Amino acid sequence: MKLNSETFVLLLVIAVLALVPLADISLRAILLLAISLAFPALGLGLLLRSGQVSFGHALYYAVGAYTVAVAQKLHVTDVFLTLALALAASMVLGLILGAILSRYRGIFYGMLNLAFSMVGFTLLLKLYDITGGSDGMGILRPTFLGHKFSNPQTAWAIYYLAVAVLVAGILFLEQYMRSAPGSALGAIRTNETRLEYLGRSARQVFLAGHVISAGFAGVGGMIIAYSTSHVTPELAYWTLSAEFLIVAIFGGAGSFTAITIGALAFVLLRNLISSYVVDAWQLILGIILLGIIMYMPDGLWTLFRKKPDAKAP
Amino acid sequence: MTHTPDTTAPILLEASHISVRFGGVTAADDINLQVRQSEVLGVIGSNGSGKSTFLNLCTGYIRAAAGEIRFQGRPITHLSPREITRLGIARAFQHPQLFLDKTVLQSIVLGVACRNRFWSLGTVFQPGYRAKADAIVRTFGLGDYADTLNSALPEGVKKLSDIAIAMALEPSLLLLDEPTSSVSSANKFIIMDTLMPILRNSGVTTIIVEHDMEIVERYMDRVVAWDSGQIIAEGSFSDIMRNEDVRQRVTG
Repeated sequence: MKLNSETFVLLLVIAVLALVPLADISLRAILLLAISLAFPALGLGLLLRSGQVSFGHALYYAVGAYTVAVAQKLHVTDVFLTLALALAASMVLGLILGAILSRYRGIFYGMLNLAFSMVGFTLLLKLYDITGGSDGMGILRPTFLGHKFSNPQTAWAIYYLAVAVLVAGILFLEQYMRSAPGSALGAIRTNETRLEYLGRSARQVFLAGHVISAGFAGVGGMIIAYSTSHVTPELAYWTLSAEFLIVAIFGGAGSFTAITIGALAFVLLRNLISSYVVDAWQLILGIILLGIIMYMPDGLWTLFRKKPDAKAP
Repeated sequence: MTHTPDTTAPILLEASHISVRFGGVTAADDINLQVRQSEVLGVIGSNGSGKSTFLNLCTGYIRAAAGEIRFQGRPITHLSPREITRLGIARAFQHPQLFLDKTVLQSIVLGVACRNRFWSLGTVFQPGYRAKADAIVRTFGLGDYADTLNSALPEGVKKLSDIAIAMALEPSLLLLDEPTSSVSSANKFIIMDTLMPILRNSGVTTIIVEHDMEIVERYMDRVVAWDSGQIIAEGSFSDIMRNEDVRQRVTG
């Protein structure tokens, strides 16, 4: 990997995530919340590369979270196993729904995602016997490869596991964008016809992107489940989907590192603002978003991107 | 640049009794046409004569109402554009279809990857693909534009970039739809003089829809003339220009 400015910023982000909670433990919970938000935003960032937005990724987030709860009910308590299950469950659902969703683009894709997420929200609410309805489900302290740690130890372990998975996730996305199916995602935005006449299915390329983005949302859901020890149907609610999208746009479609910074900035700002001014968070968030859209239409990424490759012929 | 057609070369593409109608317009009426290995076939005809329809039939974009098209002996009439592309038929477009977010080199590398192992997490700029793409950039004389975004290319270079991406698929049959349209008259010869040696060296069979008679005369091995969905003449350029119908209805 070349040590360019983006790699440098990523290393900086990792250092902040790894060291700040050691200096101030009260920030650990906030940072963990930001990490759980970064995952679905990163998934949406991948979709933004294909020029598509989803208003319903909270569904996969909730599936990831509820997978942990249901797995614990079935006596699967290992954190790594629940991570794998949350990833698998959200990707399988992404694949099933994606079979339909990948036919659509633009507003139709966005709104169909919303529709599916509302169905999911209602199911979580109504299937009391499995999901506990609006009471939700509790999450127990997980085991680590058979070891059970004390409460504080577990919290640290989950935090650093989340940081490690986040870094792996960012590196995976960056490698994916260098691969052929990742490179072809951009073609969904610019020219599906040419892709078909290169003998490759635009729909399959888009479906792969959708499934990966669902998996990221699912991992975020797993983290929020362990971080709050409780899951409720609100995790599938559309306002949360909008929050993911805001963070992705806040960071910018151009860089996964920037989206991660976007998630950190979003959560830290929200905490900061709500501790100083009551009920003003939405107002200030709105003003910040307005500023970003007007002056940095490509998001925080604008701050450290290279000049575009286009040179005048 | 024209070669005498080799009438003993194997038949690569064969259309038999192909018919298509759009509403009241007959775009193809009982068409029979054979294209032989490694020839460069020109398709001429006035606007609406059905010459572009024939390209669209060969790529599966349009389905024939009757008749059959065989490629390498295999019927392709009911296959999708994607399936046909993967059998070895590549095309360029009258209006270049480019990945506007990518540079010339990035697009060609992606084309090479589409021809090879596409579903892989490996970097698309791997040495093997990169070397093939570099060679294509070189032969098409696109070196100065390799790192230019497709969206920023001049019109003539866009045409070449579009054909270069098609050639990244190493096709057996290449279909070109007016490769010199909307290009200045000086540039059209530059495009063709770049293109023809590439076609000859690779041995790719090529069908070129063209309305510019200077280009047809200078570069095509064989010409078919269309009118109202029918082939009205077939042969060398000088042969078909002796045909009274062609002079009146096609070249005006």
